[in-house]
Amino acid sequence: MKQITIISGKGGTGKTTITASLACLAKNYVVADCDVDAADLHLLLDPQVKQRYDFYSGKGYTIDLEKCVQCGMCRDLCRYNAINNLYEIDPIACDACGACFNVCPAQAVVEKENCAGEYYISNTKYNMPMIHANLYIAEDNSGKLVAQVRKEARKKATEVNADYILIDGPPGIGCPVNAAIVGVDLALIVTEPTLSGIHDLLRVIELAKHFKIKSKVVINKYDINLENTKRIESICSEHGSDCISKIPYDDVIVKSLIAGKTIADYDPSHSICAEIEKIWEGIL
Amino acid sequence: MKIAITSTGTEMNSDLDPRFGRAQYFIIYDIENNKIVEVINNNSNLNASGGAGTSAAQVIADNDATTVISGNFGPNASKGLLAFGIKMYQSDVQKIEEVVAAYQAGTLVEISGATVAGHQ
Amino acid sequence: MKIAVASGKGGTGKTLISTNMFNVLPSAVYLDCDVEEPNGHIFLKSDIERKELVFIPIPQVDEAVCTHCGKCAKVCNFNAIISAKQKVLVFPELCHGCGSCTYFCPEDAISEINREIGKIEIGKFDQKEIFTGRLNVGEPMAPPVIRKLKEKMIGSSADFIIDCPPGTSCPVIESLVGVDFVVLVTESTPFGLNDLKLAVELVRKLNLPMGVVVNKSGLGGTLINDYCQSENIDLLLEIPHDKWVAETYSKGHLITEDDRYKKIFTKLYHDILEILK
Repeated sequence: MKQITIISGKGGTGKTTITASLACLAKNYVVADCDVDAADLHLLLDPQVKQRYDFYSGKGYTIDLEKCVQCGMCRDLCRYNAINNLYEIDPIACDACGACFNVCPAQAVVEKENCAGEYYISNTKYNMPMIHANLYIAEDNSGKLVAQVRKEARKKATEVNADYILIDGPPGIGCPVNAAIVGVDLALIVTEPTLSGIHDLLRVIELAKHFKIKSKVVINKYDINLENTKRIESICSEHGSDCISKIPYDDVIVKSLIAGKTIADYDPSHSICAEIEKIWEGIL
Repeated sequence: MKIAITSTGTEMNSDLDPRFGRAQYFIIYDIENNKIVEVINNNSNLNASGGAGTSAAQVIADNDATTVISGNFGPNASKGLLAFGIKMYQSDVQKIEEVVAAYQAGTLVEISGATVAGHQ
Repeated sequence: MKIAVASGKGGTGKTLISTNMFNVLPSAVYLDCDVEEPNGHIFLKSDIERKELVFIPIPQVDEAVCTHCGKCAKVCNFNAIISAKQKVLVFPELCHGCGSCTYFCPEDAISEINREIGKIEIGKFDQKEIFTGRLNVGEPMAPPVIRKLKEKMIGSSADFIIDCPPGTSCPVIESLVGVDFVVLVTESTPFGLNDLKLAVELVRKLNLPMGVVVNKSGLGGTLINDYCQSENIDLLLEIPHDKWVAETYSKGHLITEDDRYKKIFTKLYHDILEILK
């Protein structure tokens, strides 16, 4: 079983569109949407939720005003300015460190398990299993939810004897991206020929190396700047990350997106479909 | 001498839990007297936002086990266990009683560092 | 005025909006809070005049004083410190710098030392100051670097343009704290709308005034316009789908060097001022 994560560093390069296109093309796989902060893959894969689970992470704290003696020790200790002068804890500012809980002489601070989101096991319109999730607004630790999605994906893949796990990764290079790429067989990096895209490509290649993961690159919208595309190709050879495909800019992508379809479903004879097949071959 | 084994259940015929930090239970087994002396529910770690490996290492140390047997150990867990001088052994998933027998027969592999990256 | 530029979805043109708005202002300060992938400096070309390192405090245990009571491990919610018979171990990458272990140690055996997690690069563009936050690669926590950047706002009466990270999680919230207005940038596609809704939910939770800018408008019809109308959110500006804009951006140039866009962005700024009155 091979695990592939599609990442980009910079947002908006076409990660999700490409993941969905691969999901249309491939057989015998499980697909996982690890962009838990702003999940989009479901807009193209139309999953039917079979099971839904609560996701718990860390603790949540509130102050029982009836027990509170307003001594202010919690406020003095809190490094996040999360407790106001009415002794209310702001859940957004609160880091859930528990200092207030431990210091309160009146035991007025209540500790609870924090329900931070939910995750789903579903079936896509291509009749393949899909694991996806939603982190609630203002919650922390998307990395842990990403790890949960990956765990469920592995479980499902074993259950159905899948050959691949396709993972739509989150943007950036932080904790959730780490959780999305750790232990995979390949990081497929989708970039674009803009200076911002190149800047972020370098950071993400460095991240993949840091985790000792092989990476390959796809240049999306390559014809908006041919000079930058050449630069990216040199970067790829310098860093040992093969550039396996170049996709031209085309309005058909947006049109197919609006129709809720992958390019292969929307316009199967379009030349971009051949590029998607090339990407798939490059992954195998 | 006490050894700790990660387990999915509380009995000798439960299966080994292949994870260390987020194992469901730790079975503390007395080798000399051939019996389970403690079964620790690792529930609090399952919901922890992070550092499950480190706090699991703490639990093992607190229970005076000199050896841990599991399927895999992450980087934080192995760092913690090594620092506490606790030995790590790797086993395939099988019944706890089979794990104990394999340990006593000397067929388990001793490991000296993380076997998997973190976040798994 | 402190204006933040954010978006639920990445790649919608946040940096395009924030850098160009900054360019047309006679005096302002730029905070690049997208510390995992800061891009502002690509368009606001400036020399780095100095760097400030960003630290979080982590515990250091004096083993000579420590009695290995284990209190530090008990109070740590992040499992970043563990204690066994003869040794205390600290796991710096798990530590949130909350100070609990240090405070609760009954023997006063713990002191705090600084661990570097990122840096702030300071430069000048057109006589205006730019602060770029950069999280070190591999570091899991962005908020402390962003917090350090936001400190530049304290006690300052200058205008600030704050470029936020994409998404709706903690780093974004940290970037939005204390601002006067949030500009949400989106594109008129189903992805853009889906993520705009998440961003709107967040900004409403933070009780901040907001307005929407649609980039590459015309591609996806009136998706965003319809949404803004039904939700009573100001649609501040639509930038049409324009190859020249894409090319200029790809080269790292500012579209407001062109008079047409200079006027458009100046109007955007004044429209926001009007709304806030």
